[in-house]
Amino acid sequence: MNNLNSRQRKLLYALGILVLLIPIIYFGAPVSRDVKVDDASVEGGYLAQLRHDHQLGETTLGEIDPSSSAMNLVLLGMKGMAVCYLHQNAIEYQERKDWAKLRETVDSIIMLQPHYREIWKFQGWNLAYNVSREWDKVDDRYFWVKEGIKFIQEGTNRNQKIPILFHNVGEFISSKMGISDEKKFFRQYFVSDPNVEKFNGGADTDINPKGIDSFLVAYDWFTLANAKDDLYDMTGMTHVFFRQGPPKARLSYAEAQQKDGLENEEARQANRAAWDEGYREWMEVYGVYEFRGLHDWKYKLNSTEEDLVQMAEENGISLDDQRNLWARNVDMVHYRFWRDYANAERDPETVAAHQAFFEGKKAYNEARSVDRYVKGKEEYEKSDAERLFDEAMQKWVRVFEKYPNMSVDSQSYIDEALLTVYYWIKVHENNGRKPPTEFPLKTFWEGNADRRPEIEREFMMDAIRVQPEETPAGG
Amino acid sequence: MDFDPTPFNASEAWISWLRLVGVLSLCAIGLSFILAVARNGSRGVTIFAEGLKGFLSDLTSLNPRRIFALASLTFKDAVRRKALLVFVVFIALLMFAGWFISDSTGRPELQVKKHIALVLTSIAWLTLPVVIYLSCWVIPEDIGLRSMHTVVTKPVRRIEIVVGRILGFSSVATLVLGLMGLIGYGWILRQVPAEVQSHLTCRVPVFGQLYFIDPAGQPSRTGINVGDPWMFRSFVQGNSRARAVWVFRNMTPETVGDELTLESRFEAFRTVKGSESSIKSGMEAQYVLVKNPREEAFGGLAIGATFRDFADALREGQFNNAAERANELAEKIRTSPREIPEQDYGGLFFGSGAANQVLDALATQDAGKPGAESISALSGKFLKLSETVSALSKAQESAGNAPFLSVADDLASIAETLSADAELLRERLPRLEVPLPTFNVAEFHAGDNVSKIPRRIQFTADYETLSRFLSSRVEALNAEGKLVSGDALSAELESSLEQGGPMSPENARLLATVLNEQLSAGELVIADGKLSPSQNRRWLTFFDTLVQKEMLVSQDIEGWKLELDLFNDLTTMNNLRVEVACVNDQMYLGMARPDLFVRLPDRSFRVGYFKSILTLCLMMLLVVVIGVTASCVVKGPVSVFLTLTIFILGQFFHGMMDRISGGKEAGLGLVESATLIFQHRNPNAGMDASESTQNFVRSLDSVSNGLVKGANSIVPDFGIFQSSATYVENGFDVPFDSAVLPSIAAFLAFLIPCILLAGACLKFRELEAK
Repeated sequence: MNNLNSRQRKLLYALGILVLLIPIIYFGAPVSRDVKVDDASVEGGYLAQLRHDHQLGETTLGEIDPSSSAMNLVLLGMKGMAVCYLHQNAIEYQERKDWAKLRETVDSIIMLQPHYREIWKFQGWNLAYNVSREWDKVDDRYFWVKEGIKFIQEGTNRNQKIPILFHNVGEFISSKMGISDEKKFFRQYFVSDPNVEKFNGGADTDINPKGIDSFLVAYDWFTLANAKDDLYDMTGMTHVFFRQGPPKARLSYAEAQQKDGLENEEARQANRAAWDEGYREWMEVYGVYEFRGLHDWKYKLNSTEEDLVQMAEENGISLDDQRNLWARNVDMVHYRFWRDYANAERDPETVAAHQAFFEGKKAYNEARSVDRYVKGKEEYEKSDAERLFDEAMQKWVRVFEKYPNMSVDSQSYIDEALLTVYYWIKVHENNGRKPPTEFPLKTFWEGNADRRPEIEREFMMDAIRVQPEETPAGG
Repeated sequence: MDFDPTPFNASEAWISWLRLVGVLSLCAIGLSFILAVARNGSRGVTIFAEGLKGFLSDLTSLNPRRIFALASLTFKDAVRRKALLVFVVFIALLMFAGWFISDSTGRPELQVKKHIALVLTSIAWLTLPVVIYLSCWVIPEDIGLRSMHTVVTKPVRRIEIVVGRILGFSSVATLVLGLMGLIGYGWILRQVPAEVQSHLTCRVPVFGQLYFIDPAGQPSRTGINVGDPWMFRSFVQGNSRARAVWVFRNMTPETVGDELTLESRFEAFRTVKGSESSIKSGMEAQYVLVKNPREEAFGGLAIGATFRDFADALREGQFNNAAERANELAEKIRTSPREIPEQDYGGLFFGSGAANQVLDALATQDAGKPGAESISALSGKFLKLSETVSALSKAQESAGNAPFLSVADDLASIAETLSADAELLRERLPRLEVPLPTFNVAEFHAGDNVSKIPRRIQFTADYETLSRFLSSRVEALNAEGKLVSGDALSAELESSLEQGGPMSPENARLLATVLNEQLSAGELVIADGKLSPSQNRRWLTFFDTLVQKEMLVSQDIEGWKLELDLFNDLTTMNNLRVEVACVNDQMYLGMARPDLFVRLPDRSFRVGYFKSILTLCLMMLLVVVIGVTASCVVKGPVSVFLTLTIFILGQFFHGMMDRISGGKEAGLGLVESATLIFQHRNPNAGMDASESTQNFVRSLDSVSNGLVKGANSIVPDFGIFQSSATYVENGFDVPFDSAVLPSIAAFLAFLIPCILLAGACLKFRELEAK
């Protein structure tokens, strides 16, 4: 039946293999490099080309991870079960505070589900927010915040077509470094990592390659997210909130600079420039972006009456409907508040009010709040602190006249103006005098009587903050 | 470490094994007898007897040479079946393992843990399929191909075939695991980054016993629950009397060395943000080395609220006060015994028993020293008290108040001794507390909180310790005759005090001055060239008074610095007591028993690693044993499934079966739960069925629970073998008594019955039946 000897058979097999390889290579040759979003075609087999055209392949989704592909292949159809098992393990490890195993398990889950958006979001959040708070020391917390950010950053590498992940990176960075309880430390660590041994006093380049402020890094991510949004459909968030990332990061950056203190003219100039830039983006980029609202009607946040009429025509709806749509969204994102806030902050008048308050506080803390006896004149001269707080109050009056909304809407303005008055009263009391019954912010002070306990607390906190730090433990 | 290592109780395990194997053997013999009689009638008795005799004769005449021949044949057969190809897979895995291990975490302990876990897990899981395939398939295949006939026709006993096969496969599995272990070891050393190689070590811990002292100062089994769903750790409140107390046994220079190393890993919980330095550096904890026989003896008496004042007075060393409290209690028991809650009598029973034990041991240790007799007498009285309290529960109602009167009499008798020997007792029962410097808690960074405590410890004395130190110093000088010169104190007293030990010139001057003043005031008297306190007081009482009156406040800025020997002065019967306090206010420290341990000199990483390989090897050998046994009973594919099922049950479900068997698993039985699901009802509402139906369902559930219990007894717990990997991953040596010994015992426990079962099955199996 078979007259071929062993050698002939082997030759025949080799020939068969070669023949079969030709269609395999033709159809199945893989893409050997990462594919850019705008690539018209890819080098590779026919199937690879089809996958690219229909955006089905790993290569079109983001970076290729060979280990992930290998794992999925090895598991055959058992991926779902394996993922369930790993998720359960991850929860158990987290409960038992076995952080190494949790991180390892999360990595394994991602190998099996590299394009599942929610896993990246959930586990990134979990590491940055939940795991970090399980630790006590602030540098440990920062380490896990970084882990969460790095994790979701990895998600963006692997999923170039999911804009929300890019937005989430920006959100994690701006909220953790700028809003969290530990923001004072985190913002500092973001540019100068506490792991001096590894980063030599610089930033962790995985999350901050340029070593710049956290809000500026967040800005870059939000900008990238918006660019992705221009290319692919964003899902998972209200669009009008999604697009406000970059200008909000700019404004937050300017605000943070101000809270850090503006020591010299150069810093003040830079801060005004930051407010200018934030205002410009808010008005000219975010404000003029064409959003699609209810029933897919178009609207722009920064609309004039003419714009509303034009949009109503384009949408084929009444002006009232257009106005309602616009007004709802403007209110929803506090568009006017941020506009006025940025506008006020870039005004030299407001900068001067902040400056006078800042200088006044500095004088108070440096004990320059005692009236000086002038020998020649035989009378007491106002202290530096009182003079500066007087000046600050007058400037606040002018700011509120110019931007009346801010005396109602902006809690930070209200608090700062009230605190100016409170300090001014304290300076008088410290000198054994009663403050004059008439003073520039009197109406405002009396109109916000309910805020006074809060202001008193803030004053106490200021006093604690300026005290020298206690001796480190064991020292 | 996030689990509590429990030493293996070999004797208990041995007894339960004998019981289980005995019952199962009897069942097997009985069943065989019934089957033989059922199939062959009365002739079955003879057949059964001959079979049993033959089997026993096989057991007693095993030939090692034949077994070895069969084993070497099996080994060759396994190699021929390409069993060793598993290496290729293993090496391929290790070559590309770097892809799977990201070092982004950067933390040394995490990196090391990942590498070790990868190697040990892959060794276990790669070897398993090979071992199951070989052990389950070969005997059925031999029978099927009739190659077994060529063996059984030779003078070989069938049990020897079983043993030979097990031995052969075991040697293959051992070889494979051994080589994989070596390769894995080399890979870990090469792959773990150089900067974290120092974390590849085996710490050798000595764990102690833990209990807590609550913020009110009372002993408690657990601390505060801060709401963590994982109940592993209990928390102590910061800036309060709350403490976690560890007692380490057998602490001698021979076992520990000249320096004591304490390592901890506590968890922090804060209810306030705290100061900036605490945010940056973490919460602070403090160790206090304590020698406190009073606490050990009388702490238990504080369990019942009624007796707490009495216990507190004893713990504070205020024995006269304690005597008064005891008399009050005696009176209360005489007049209204039943007003005292029953559980308080229970506390009194436990506390007096503990007091007796501790005092008895102290009396034996201090025999011949002044005060030892008082302690012995007190110990006897506490023993009697515990007996009379114990009798309360047994006493009949009809006995009335008589048993309570005995308790009252015993308490009064204790009060008498306390009052009479108060000074002596205080002298013999010291409380010595040596607070060590505070440290910042490193939390989950294993190995970062290590404190080295030298054998000679310098510390600032508290009031009681100062009184004891001064009285012993003055007594010693008095005995040497250096205290008095004529009718006055020696002019050299100051220098004598200074020379004798850690006393600064300023403090020596102060002491000399105060002694002179006391002599002038008549508080001290000179008689026969010796100085002594007036009114026959003891020196300790004398100095207690002076210290309390703050007449001996240190003139040296460093305070009264004393020096103690860790082992001689701070241990009680070689037991070292370490109390841990949380320093920060409104913050809490979480602790479990393994969170603090005495660290003996580290061992090389390879010691723990290869112990772990050994236990993995034992696990594989057990799988071989089960596989071969299964293959003697059923055919190849069934045998594979049976072995795999046993493995999966033992590996993943043994914990659950343990919980169900021990009644610790929450929820209802199988049928009852199914019924509730069907009826859409919750467990609290119960089944919507008649009482009889409910009883019937529960009886069905008791059957399924019984089956789970049965399975739990006969399915090996494979988790035991893998526990050693957890130790190595966490940087600990694998303890012999908690990990290696249980693995060996589990293997042997299944090896013997499995060989007997497999031998019997193969002997009585009809080979022609295929």
